[in-house]
Amino acid sequence: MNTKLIVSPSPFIHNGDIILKRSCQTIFALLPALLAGFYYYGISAVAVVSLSVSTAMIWELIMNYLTKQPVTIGDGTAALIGLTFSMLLPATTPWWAVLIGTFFAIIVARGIFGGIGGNPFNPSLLALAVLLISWPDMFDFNEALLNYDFIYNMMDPLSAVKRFGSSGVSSFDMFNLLIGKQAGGIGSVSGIFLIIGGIYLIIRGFIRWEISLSFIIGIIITSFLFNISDPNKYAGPIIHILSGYTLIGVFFLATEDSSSPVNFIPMIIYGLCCGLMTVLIRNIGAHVDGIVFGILLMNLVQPLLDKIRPKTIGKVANNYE
Amino acid sequence: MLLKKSFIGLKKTKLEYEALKGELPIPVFISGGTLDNENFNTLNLEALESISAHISGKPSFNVFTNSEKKINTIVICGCESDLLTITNQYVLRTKANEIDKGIKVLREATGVDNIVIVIPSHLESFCSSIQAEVKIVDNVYPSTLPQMISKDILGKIVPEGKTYEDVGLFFLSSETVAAIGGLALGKVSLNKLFTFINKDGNKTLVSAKIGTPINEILEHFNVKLEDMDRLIFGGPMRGICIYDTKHSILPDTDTVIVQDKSNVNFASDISCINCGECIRICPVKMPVNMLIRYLAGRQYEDGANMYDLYCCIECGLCSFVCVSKIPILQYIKLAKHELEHARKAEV
Repeated sequence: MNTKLIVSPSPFIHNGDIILKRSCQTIFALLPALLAGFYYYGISAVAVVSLSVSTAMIWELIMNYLTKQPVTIGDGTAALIGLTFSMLLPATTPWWAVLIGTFFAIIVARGIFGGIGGNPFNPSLLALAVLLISWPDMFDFNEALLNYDFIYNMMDPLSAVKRFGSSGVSSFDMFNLLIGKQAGGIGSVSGIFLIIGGIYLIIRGFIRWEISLSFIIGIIITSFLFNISDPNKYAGPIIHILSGYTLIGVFFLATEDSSSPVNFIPMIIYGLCCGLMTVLIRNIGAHVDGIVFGILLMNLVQPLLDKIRPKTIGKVANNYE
Repeated sequence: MLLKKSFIGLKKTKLEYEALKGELPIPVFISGGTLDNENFNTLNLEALESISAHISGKPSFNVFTNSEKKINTIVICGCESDLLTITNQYVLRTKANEIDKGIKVLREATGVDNIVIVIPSHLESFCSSIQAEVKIVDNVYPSTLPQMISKDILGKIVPEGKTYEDVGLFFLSSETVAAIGGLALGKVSLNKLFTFINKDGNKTLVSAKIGTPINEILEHFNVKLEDMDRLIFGGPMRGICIYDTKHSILPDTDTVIVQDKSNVNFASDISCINCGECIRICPVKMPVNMLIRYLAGRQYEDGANMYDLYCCIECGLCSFVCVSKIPILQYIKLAKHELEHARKAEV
């Protein structure tokens, strides 16, 4: 008998959870918020999202060829990065800005660090930060969305707070904020759908609930302290949670696998500090929205945070560290 | 079911051992039999040691004779050491008499008074006649591995780089004890009982003479092996692959699995994406995500010093849940092997 049997290391079974499945499930969870964005912003939002997803995948392919690595667009992560990136953009973003953004997301933020799993920062956020610093006018949502004929209050609540204090947001109805009747990024305005998608991912175990929960708690605590110190100047926790990039940041950006910690205590610290940094930047920083730089800063600290870990059972002495 | 390529929902449910409840399956008899015990009237340590290679389970009594380690507890596992198999539970249910006799022999031969039998909860009623302390073990993998039993049930944590014999424990399977008891009752069994799992996942208990080539068993079950199939000795989590069908049944073969090529999983060389699944499932709380980065870069010393390589109990759960399908367990075994080599070269 000359049968060639497969010889491979144990274990011989796998729970079937692979990268493609994770990417597909995350994209699936983002879909409701995305469709809501399409509903609010129309065909130009569809154009931005399509361009972003397709160029992200093309950059990934180019990077694969340049570095002579196996083609990895099949795992869906490039498409996911393109999608989350486009959901942060205003619907009026010009095509060249999308192209530059996905270039930074795929090649600079991830490719040169070694591809999947190597990125120290969330790729979508790093690309957004580059655009935000280079062309700040593009992200002034009030200006960018000037030509849209909204039947509701079309101000960006965060810039209203920044300019007029908490009286600036008194005209906002919380329910309208929740369903997305505010000026903002394509996929980041409809809070309720982002919450549904985030909870779906938490239940299925694709993101870590500790990060999302502690992030929200961090925002609530910090903004509440600001609010009681000067109620006229600083808005309350609910405005902070329902406006800007908060909910997409909490559920989809801060929880990105390779740039967030994995142990329990570091995850809590990471989330709380993300919330703290966000509100600090929003309230006393130069930028309108603090999510982008808040999460990027905490991404930077993540390797240090992950040093806090439980003692391994059976470990005797540790003379090394 | 468990051998299929992927199954949704298992991530949250726990990996449970096969429970042998209700009616007993009848083992398929292939070859072998029993002989009368004429040579060993007194079963002392020397006698046990001299025939240990022929006792199923292949116990080694070296630790009692040639070492300074002091054994104070003998642990008999009436539970399975891996998923899918039912061998040990079958022995416990059918051979309580032999096990009881075997325990008496062990007590006299080794002088260890404290003998514990560890069983899953559904077998408690079958152990009433056994003269040993009965402990119940959780029916979820990997709670029946020796290190986990000593930690959870006996309260003794095995320190890194040490074996459970260093903390005074000696492990035997119920089948081994039953074989020793059989010797004392005058019968020498030539056979090994094992669970045979076919391509379609059907389980059969098989009794065959130790040394039977595996192709005789495959022929008996009419299994046609094709290229790219996998033949596994041992369970799905910790077994080893066999490359030749002339390989014979060994005294410690508890399970034989034939896996169809459509269900064969391959490892990949995608790097770690830091999802943290391995961290959450690791029974000894190892920093697997950091360790694998060092091991993949061949920094074995650093992996052992900083990230607790020697604490690993090799249960394989990290590889089971790995999203990138990294062969983590293989990396860990390789690192231990390489470090062992380096140490020998130094001396």
